[in-house]
Amino acid sequence: MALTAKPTECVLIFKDRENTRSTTRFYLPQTGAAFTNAFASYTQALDIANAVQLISDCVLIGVTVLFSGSDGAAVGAGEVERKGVFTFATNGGTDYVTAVPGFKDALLDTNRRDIPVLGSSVPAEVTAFVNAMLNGPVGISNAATNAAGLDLVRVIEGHKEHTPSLVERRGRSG
Amino acid sequence: MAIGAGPSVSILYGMRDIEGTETDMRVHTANPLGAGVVSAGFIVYLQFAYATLLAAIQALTDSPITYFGATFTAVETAPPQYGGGEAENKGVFRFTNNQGRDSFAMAIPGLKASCLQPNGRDIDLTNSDVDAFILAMTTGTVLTVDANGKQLMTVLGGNAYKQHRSSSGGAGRATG
Repeated sequence: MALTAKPTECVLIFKDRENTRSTTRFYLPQTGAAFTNAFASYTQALDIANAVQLISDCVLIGVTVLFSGSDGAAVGAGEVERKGVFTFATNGGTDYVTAVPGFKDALLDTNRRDIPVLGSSVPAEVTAFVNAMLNGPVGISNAATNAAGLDLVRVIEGHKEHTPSLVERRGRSG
Repeated sequence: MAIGAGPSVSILYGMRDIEGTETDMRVHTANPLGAGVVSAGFIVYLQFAYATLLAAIQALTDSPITYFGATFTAVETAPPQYGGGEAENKGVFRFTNNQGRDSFAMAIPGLKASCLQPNGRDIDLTNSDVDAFILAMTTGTVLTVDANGKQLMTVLGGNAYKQHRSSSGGAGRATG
């Protein structure tokens, strides 16, 4: 797997007097896998957003900055419809669910349905994923959250679930 | 009004399967900027999502991860009930890149009438706010580029004008 970095995409979101939303976008140089200049890009995006606000009657209500990369050449494998669904408890919010596409059969429990997440039979790969989700970067107290920013505090359960493909034709999302 | 760090960072991992079907999974992490983590810590955070968490997810799936995207959001901390201006009234700026090509257009919603020339159509490039915008786009620590990564240089005369574009969607959800 080798992801090629794309230019950093910055989107400015406006709201007008009828509350119609509108966006405009611009790009900053890709930051590469080392993310050099990532913070500078973020602050530059906000500086440009403020400059745009000065020439617009609409109200700037949001800015998004997307750091991304993709690999167009990778040969696919597995089946993305076979999901590994993990449920996490959050600190004061509803449970948080995330689903890993193409989940490995080898990581399932002997009943071929459940994913062991607690106890002594948890696969090392599952432990590494759960720990990464709950602990975040070393030295920074800032791990995974739900969309509202509430911390994930523990994993509750995991199971395999098949989800339908969105379209019948191959090559489209599933 | 002020723009402040959003509550979370949205991280998307895309996968491709044996049939070429593509899908993705999303996780959220706390926004490091909200916790006062800036600069070097910001980069550590991105590297964690790009390397550690990505590797942990890759170990769970048969499908190769073919896309990574981390979206940082900044939001208006005290949004007004209603916005202002008309979003369909665009100010179009066509930027020339470092190869002399007219390669990138930016359409700014609700362009102020005070930014226009007397003809009511062309944008006054000598207007101080317009000039500040073009300077913000073409100077600074990180220089803007077009979608192909070529550096943007300037807006030539005649390449900045007002243009009305249609809205789409119903009340409360319309986009312009």
